[in-house]
Amino acid sequence: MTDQSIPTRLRSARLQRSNGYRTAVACLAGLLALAVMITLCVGQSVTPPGDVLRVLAGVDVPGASFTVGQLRLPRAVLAVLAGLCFGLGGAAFQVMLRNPLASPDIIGINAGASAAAVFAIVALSLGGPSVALMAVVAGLGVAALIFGLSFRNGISGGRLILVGIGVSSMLDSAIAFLLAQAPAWDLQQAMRWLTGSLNGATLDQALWPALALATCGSLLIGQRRGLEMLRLGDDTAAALGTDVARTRLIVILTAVGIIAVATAITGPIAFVAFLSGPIAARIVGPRGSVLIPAALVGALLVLAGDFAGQFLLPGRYPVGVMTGAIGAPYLIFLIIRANKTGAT
Amino acid sequence: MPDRMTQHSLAAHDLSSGYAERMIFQGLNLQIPAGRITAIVGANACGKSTLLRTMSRLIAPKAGQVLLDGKSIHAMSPRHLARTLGLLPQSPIAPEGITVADLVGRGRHPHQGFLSRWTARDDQAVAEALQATGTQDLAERAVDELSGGQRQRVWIAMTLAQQTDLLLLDEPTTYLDICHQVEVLDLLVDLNRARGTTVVMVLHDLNLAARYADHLVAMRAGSIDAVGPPDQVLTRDMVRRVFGLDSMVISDPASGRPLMLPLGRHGVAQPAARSA
Ligand SMILES: Nc1ncnc2c1ncn2[C@@H]1O[C@H](COP(=O)(O)OP(=O)(O)O)[C@@H](O)[C@H]1O
Ligand SMILES: [Mg+2]
Repeated sequence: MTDQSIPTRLRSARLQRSNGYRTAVACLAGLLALAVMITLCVGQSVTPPGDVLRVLAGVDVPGASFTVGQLRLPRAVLAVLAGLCFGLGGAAFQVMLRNPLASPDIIGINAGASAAAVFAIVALSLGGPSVALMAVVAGLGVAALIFGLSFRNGISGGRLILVGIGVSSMLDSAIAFLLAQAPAWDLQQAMRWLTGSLNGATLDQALWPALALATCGSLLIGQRRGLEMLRLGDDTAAALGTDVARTRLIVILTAVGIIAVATAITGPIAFVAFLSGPIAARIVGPRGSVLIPAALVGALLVLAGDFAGQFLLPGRYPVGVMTGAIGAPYLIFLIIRANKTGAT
Repeated sequence: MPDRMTQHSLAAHDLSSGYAERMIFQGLNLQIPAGRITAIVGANACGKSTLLRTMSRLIAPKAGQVLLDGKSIHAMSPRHLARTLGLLPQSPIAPEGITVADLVGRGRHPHQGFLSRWTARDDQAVAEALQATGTQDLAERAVDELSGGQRQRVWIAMTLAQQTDLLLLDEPTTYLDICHQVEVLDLLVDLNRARGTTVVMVLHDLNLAARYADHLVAMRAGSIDAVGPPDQVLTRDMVRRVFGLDSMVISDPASGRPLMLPLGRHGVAQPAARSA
C-alpha cells in the first residue's frame, strides 16, 4: 500500500518546481524587454520612452525617427536575434555533450562559419543569403569534421573538445589570412569576423537569423526533453526510451544552423554561446530545461555587451570585445577546474 | 500495486557484439527465464556489461539477435521497448543539482506522450518507487548530496518508476556496504514476488548471487561457461575456470544454497599453491 500523502506531496513539489522555472523564464524575458527599451532610449543622446514608442508605432518623430528607427532599433533587433541564436545553440551543445567546454564557439563551429563568411565576401564577392548559406554549410562541415575525428566507440566530450579547440585555432588563422588578403578592409570589418560586431546593423539583415530561429530554433527547442534525458548519460537515456542518435543528430543540425546564420551576420560574437548556458543554469537551477533561459541570457549578453562597448567605456569597442572580456576568465576558470578534478 | 505483470521471454540468439575494433563475444545463446531472478557473474572485463547493453538495445549487435517475446528488439521503437524492459547502467550520471523526485520521475519518460502531460498515475508510480526503496523522505533532496548507498537506491527507484516487466541491472550493489547490498537484493526479490518482474543482474559477490538468484550465468572471456540453478553452477571447478581461483564450496547453513570460500595463499589452514 502506498502512503497516499506521498503522491500529493510529490505533486505539489513538482508544481512548485515548474512554477519556479516559469517565473525565472518570465523574469528573464521581462529583463530582456527592459534592456531593449533602455538601449532604444539611451545612446549619445537620451530619447524619452514616449517618443521611442511612437517611432516604433510608425509615427514620424522629428529628431527621434532617425536615431531610434535607423540606428538603435536595427542594432537592438540584431543583438537580440544573434544573442538568442548563440545562447540557444551553445546551451544545446553543452547539454548534449554534458560539458560546458563543448560549446560551439570553443570547438570551432563559429570559427568555421565565420571563415566561410569572410571567404564568401572577400574571395567570392558574395552577399546576403549566399553568405549565410555558406556559413551554415561550413558550420556543418566543421561539426562533421570534429565529430568524425573524435568518434571512437561513441562520442566523448573530452576528445571532441580537444579536437575542436585544434580545429578552431586553425580556422582562426584562416580568417586572419583571408582578412590579410583584402586590403580594402577596414579595422571595423576585420573585428566583425574575428570577434563579432553589430556595427552598421540594418533591419533587413534581421531576416535570416529570424528565419533560422523560427525553423531550426523551434525544432531544437522541441528536442529539449530528449536533451534533458541525455544529461543522465547516453546509456540511461537510451534505456528510458530516448532515441539518442536521432536526438543528437537533430540537435547538431539545428544548433549549427542557428549559430552559423547568426555568425554570417554579426560575426562570431565571442563567448556568448559559451557563457549563456552556465549563467542560465545558475538562474533557473535544476528545475527545467536550460535551453530557453540560455537563449534569453544570450540576447541579454549581446545587448548589454554592445551597449557597454558603445557608451560605457572611453572609446568604442565592438560587442565581441566586451563579451570576450567576460568569457575569457570563465574559460580559464573552467579549464583549471577540469584539471583539478581530472574531468574533461 | 498493480496485479502481476505479464511475463515476457528474453533471449539472445547467436549474438555477437563488441566495440568498433573489438568483438567481445560471438555466437552467444542465452535464455532468460521469465518471472525469475537471474544473476550474471564473471571476472572483470569478461563482457557482462556488454551483454546487458546489447540485450537492452544500447549496442547494436554485430550478428544474431535479441528476441523479446520472439521479436527482435532492434525492430522496436526505443520508447516501446522501454515500457517493457528497463536497464540500470553500471555508471549512470546524475545531472548537477537534480532532486531525488525529479530523477526518479525521469523513469516515467517512456510512458509519457510527446507533450509530456504529467498524470496522477505518474505521481503514483514515483511514490511507489520511492517507498519501495525507502527513499520517500529524500524526495526533495539533491541527489549529489546523498551517500553512495542512498544514491544507488534512488537509481533503482528510477528504474522501478519505469514499471517494466523486465529489469536489467548492471552491478546494482557495487560500492554499497553489506547491509545496503542485502537491502537492495531483498528489494529486488520483493519486486519479483509481488509483480512477477523478471530480474537480470550482474553481481560480483558469488555467494549473494547464489543466495538470491534462481538462475546463475557464469561468463568467462566473452562466452558462457555455465548456466543453471546455483547449486549446479557455483562449483569449485567453475570458480577455478572463471576466476582462476582455488576455492571450497560448502552448503550455506542459512539458505541451503552453495557457499564459496576462496582459498588464497594466506589466511587459511591449507593455502593454495603459488600457481593455480
Ligand atoms: N565503450 C567501450 N569501448 C571499447 N571497449 C569497451 C567499451 N566498454 C567496454 N569495453 C571493453 O570490452 C571488454 C568487456 O567490457 P565489459 O562488458 O564492460 O566487461 P564487464 O562488465 O564484464 O567488466 C573490456 O575489455 C572493456 O575494456
Ligand atoms: Mg561491467
